Amino acid sequence: MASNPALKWEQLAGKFYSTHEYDYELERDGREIDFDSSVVALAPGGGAVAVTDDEHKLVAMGNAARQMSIGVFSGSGNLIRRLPWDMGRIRGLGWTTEGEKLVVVSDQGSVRVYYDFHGNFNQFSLGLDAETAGVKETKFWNSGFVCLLNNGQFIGVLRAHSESPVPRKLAEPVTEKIHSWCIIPPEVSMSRGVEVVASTEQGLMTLDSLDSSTKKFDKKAEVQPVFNGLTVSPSGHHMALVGNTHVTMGDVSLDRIYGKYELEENVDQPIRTLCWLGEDAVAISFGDEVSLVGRENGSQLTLYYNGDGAVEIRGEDDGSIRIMGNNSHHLFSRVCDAALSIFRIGSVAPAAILLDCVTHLDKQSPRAWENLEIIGPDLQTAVDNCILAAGNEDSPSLQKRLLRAAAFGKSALDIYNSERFVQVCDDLRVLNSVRQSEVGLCLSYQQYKLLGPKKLIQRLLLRSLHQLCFNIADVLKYPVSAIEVNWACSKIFHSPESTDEELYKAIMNRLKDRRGVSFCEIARQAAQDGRVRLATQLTEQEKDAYKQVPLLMELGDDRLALEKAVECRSYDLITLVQLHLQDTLSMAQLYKLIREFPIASHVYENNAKVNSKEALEQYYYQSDRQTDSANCVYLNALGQNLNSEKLEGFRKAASMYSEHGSVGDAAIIEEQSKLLKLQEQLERDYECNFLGLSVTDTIHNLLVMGQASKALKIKTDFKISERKWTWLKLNAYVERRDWTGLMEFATSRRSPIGYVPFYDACMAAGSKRNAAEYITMTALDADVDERVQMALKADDVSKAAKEAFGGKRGDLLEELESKASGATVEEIQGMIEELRLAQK
Amino acid sequence: MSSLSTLLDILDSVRGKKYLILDRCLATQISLLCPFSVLTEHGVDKIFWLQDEESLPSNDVAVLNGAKIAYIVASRDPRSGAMLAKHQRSVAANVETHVISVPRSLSLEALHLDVFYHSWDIPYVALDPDLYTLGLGVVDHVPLLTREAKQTFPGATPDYVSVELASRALFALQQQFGFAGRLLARGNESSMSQQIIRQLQRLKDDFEVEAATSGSREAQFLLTNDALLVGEKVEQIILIDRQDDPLTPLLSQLTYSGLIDEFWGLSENGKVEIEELIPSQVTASSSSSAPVSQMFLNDTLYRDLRDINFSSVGSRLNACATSLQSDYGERHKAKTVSEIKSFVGRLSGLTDLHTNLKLHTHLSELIMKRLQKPEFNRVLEIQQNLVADSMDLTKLHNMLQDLIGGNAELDTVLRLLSIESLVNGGIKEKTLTSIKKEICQTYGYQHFLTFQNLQKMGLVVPKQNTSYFGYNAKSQDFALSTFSANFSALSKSLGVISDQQQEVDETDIASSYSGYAPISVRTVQCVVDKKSVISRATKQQLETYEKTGGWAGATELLPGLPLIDYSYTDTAKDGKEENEKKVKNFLSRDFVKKKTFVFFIGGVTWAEISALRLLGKSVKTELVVVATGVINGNDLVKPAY
Repeated sequence: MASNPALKWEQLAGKFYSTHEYDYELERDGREIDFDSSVVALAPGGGAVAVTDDEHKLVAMGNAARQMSIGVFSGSGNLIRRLPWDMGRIRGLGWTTEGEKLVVVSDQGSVRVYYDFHGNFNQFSLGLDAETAGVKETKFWNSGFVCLLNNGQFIGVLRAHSESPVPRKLAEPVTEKIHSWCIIPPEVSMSRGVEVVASTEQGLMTLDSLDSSTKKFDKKAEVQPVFNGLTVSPSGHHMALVGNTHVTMGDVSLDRIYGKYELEENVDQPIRTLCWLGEDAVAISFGDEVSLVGRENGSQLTLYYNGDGAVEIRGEDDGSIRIMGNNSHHLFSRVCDAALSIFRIGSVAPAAILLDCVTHLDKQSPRAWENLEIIGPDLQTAVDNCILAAGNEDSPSLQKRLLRAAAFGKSALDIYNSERFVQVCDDLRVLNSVRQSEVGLCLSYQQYKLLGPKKLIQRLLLRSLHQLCFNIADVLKYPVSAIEVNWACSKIFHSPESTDEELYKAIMNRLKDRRGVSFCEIARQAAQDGRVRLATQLTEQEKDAYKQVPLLMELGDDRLALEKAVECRSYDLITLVQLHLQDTLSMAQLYKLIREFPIASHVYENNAKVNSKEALEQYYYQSDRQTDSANCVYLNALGQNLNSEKLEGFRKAASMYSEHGSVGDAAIIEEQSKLLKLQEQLERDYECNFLGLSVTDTIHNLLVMGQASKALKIKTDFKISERKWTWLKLNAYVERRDWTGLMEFATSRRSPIGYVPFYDACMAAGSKRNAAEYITMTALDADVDERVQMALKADDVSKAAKEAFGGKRGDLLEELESKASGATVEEIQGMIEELRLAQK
Repeated sequence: MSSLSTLLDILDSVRGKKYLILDRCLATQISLLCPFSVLTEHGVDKIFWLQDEESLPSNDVAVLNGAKIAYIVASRDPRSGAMLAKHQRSVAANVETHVISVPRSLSLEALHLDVFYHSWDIPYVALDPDLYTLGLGVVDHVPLLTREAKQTFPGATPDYVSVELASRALFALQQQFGFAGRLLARGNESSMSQQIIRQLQRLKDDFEVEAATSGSREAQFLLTNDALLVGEKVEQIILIDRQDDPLTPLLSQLTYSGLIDEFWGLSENGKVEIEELIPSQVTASSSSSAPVSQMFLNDTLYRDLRDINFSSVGSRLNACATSLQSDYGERHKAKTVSEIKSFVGRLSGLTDLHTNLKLHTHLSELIMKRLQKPEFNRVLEIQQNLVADSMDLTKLHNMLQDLIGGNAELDTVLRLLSIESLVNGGIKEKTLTSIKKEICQTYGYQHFLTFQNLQKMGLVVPKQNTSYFGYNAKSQDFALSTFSANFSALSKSLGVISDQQQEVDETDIASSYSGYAPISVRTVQCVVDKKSVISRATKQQLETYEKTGGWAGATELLPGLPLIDYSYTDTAKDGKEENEKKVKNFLSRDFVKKKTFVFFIGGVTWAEISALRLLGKSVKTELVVVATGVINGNDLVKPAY
């Protein structure tokens, strides 16, 4: 029987804690590495460890002068990479949670962010202040860091993992001596920005991006007590202040002090690191010992790591602390309730009894079933707890026992949703595989859950463990496209001797039919390695044009970029390429290129119409598009204010049109010029507005003014058709309400447009009486029914009757009879009679 | 996250008070999403239109000193970008400027203005439960149809509705309503529809990877049971390219909403500006004294009226009035206190209806006035005769000339010319020249350019003799020639023309155009309502066609272009069928009709929407119309001048 894990539990403030120990052997690589004389930074979530020499410590002169480098180790102590460092003294070493990037701050104010484990980095400066004053100290939180400069200025950097982080100064420099300080991360601070709390002799100073305020700690004392260490709990609610002999706990504003506890051990030792154990206790690392002080009641616990030299600690997101020294790697965390109920000495919880079944099963003893009876109705909870405990347990043999217990228990249940069981099994397979010392990702179950599969795989990819990633993706049913992309990138990176051709084939063989693969990322890697041709080939495979086109432009393949933009018909992308081309190509080349793609040239025209008329004209001219060139000239002329300039422009345009055969258009413009001159003359003669009117409007106005002969002359000059002329006359007469004139005009000769328009025009002008006059004339265009309707609309029943009679329609007459009144009735009756006689 | 909250988040990220400068193209979408008061709550101090250059705040007025501006710009229109850049130059350096481009625009960002760029995406807006639009409309300067492109680059269909935008909207819709089991379209390998289908596949792939990466249980379930849900809620998507039916929008719409649109321009959100409308007649207490009256046509009565042919509107209004009368009359019957109480409770609803009734009666009067104009009837006559090919062309040309003589709207004339050209495959050179001359003389000489543009757009083209330039006319492929070449065949096989001169049959698809059944709607019928379009099949054949779904049986009806039919459900057939069947049966137990999306690339008319709604009543699937925009014939010819 496996030993009970409860034997190794520790108790603090009434809560049980367990220590997991991981396989660990620091690979020293022939160097003197001692945590005692090193600066150590632990990445969150059991990630990598960065180690570099501590400048403040004395080192015996060795055979070599002190070499500056940063060692990056896995959680099991394997050296992943040694990063050379040549930027002067290191004043800050830390990790970002997002992307597990190593941040190194130099005393000159430069910051390097190593985004992979191959030593590739982004570099930025903290600004002029930092460069002149120099950096004194740096502290990190999950996504950023704060630097304290030698002049007392704090500089905060948010989102250190992003491409280009922006350093921002906090408040004004602090002039007093700062004994210790800590960060309140922006996620939990009051101001929603990063804040700093510093301990000075004036009291505790709180600084945010705008302001600073000082809080006297001891209201009576002249000189305020100073602290060697400050730290704020992960939730931002509590703060621990560590002095020489005492630890003070309070809420973050220090309005409430929970208590001041005397340290039982390690008094007066220098503090190495401070961190919180969840929200419950604060952990203080003094060399090879770690003291834990409970928040509420000050109960204390000291962990010893003899022979380890100094240990480095880090508070993890799940409320545990990681403790790493020269020879050991521990995770100190709370025992979960399920495990507590099972392993607690003398526990008779259902789950504990269920676990006991496994022992009996091994012995093939029937007591296993008896146990089930004892558990009775609590079996479901027992199974749940066993599964939970299995997840949180890290020794595989215990995991197995617990899972067997759960499996046995659930077989006795009628219905049980096994989803969680399966999930935990999958999770444990993944967890156990990443905890192996070759991988060294020492995650607790909680941390693993917080991390999620996506980030877990990202971390493994950082370590170039592609096969493991594929296996994990298989277990977790996670899409492999991201892994494939990363694989392809490292394939390119790691095979400098292969030709582009080979690489392309190798990559395409594997990725051709994969869905959701972004080729642009691979192409970027290829471009970085100077394989432009391969990059272009790969980019061509990309399906998302919004990623593809900009990358193609970057790679310098303008033609392909334009082709792809055209293919996707995105106005936006085509414009984008053209903007780029305008900067890189000569006009002639640009025109030549876009002429190959009709849509592109259309987009160019549209944009030029909006932005620059000159460019458009230039483009038409260069492309030999005479009609469009002429159009430009014409439109230009149209926009002129002075008539002489207009005429000049028209002349030019006309000659251009006639040159390339569109004589019709030229003739039209000549006519327009003629009209313009005529209108000028007319304006002088009649002192009213003519310019801007069309030919017909001009004639119409003249007709309305009564200048019939002048109008007629224009009609012949401009070859206005007879139909149009009739319309014009008609409208003019109606507008003048010259009804006799209209009748004369109507009867003078046969109207080419018929007489219905005459009727309509009179009706529209509201003169029903006159409209009725034309009904008889419309005999050729409208049949009897229509004519009768027209007459009725004009309120002329007798006319309608006459029409009906003329058309020999007795039926209509009868209908009309009812509508008629007075003498008309008799009239209609007479007509009906007459028709009847005629029919006989 | 919803579109609105994304926008508000962006606005919130600009701290403090800010001026908002809005692109007019986006007014509809934004007003549909939220009232402007909501914007004020998020720190918007004042709102300006980007297009009103004079009214924009500038530095001389000193209002802008140290202020913050946020532009919301439709990135698809190059003019908006130009205007933005122009205004930016007039603004001092101490003004913090944010540009929100809709949707994301790389070319706008490439201008390197000294601003903060944001992007906001509204893939679609819902106008009604069965009507979605991308709000693209027809952007002027970006012609819908061009001819040149086709000539030199045979693969490309020449319009600018971005494949990206269209497919993103379709995908977003599918995300909301479920993935479609089938994609149906007409077109060849390189057509717009094909490209959209390809993009959709890519978006789906990306989405799946994304969903799986997010690791949520729900996404995982969807992923592993992908095949189950495809086609369960959304049966199919039918893509209709406006190029396959450019004719319908050119014809006059004759439904209530269609007529309002033809006369006054009905915006997508049901807003219309009618000068003739006397406010006092509409609402008893109209406070606004603005000369132009605006209103929202979103009342229940309008819903009832909008889709019917105008000839029936009168009787509907009458019926409504009568029932209202009797409802009011009930007050006399109310004797007990509780009866009176219940009557009073309904009173506000009744008064609302009363107001609406007043509005619509008045509006119908206005429409009637316009309808009675002889010009309108003549236009209709020409249209009908052109489409039915039932009158001598010379006579029609005379009528056209009379329209010009009577100073008809230029749009109207151009629409008629376009119809003639489309239906007959061009207009005789000589006729065209004489009409061009008349138009130039009447509407101004600059309109000879209009003809150039119309020809480029493929709307009005000269008829080519076979040996005009010494080579075969067929090699000179116009953008629309596929349509023109097949029009007579299509018209016959689909039964586009129906004889209904006097009486309008309200249940007929052709009622929205009084005697013309839109080709687009007929195409949809080929899929969802086979029995009414396929006349030459036996009963048994019909049954099999209906079972197969898709284009089955319609091949002969739709000549000219290959029919595309993508099925996503078939691939899921192999493996684990037993379980799947069970779940499928379970899923299809609820009696909700499956949806069919009809996606119009290049715009849809109100009358077509009405016709599709009518069709939706009689078929087994729920029709949902999605369009790049709601358009009418004027929008189609306007870009020419």
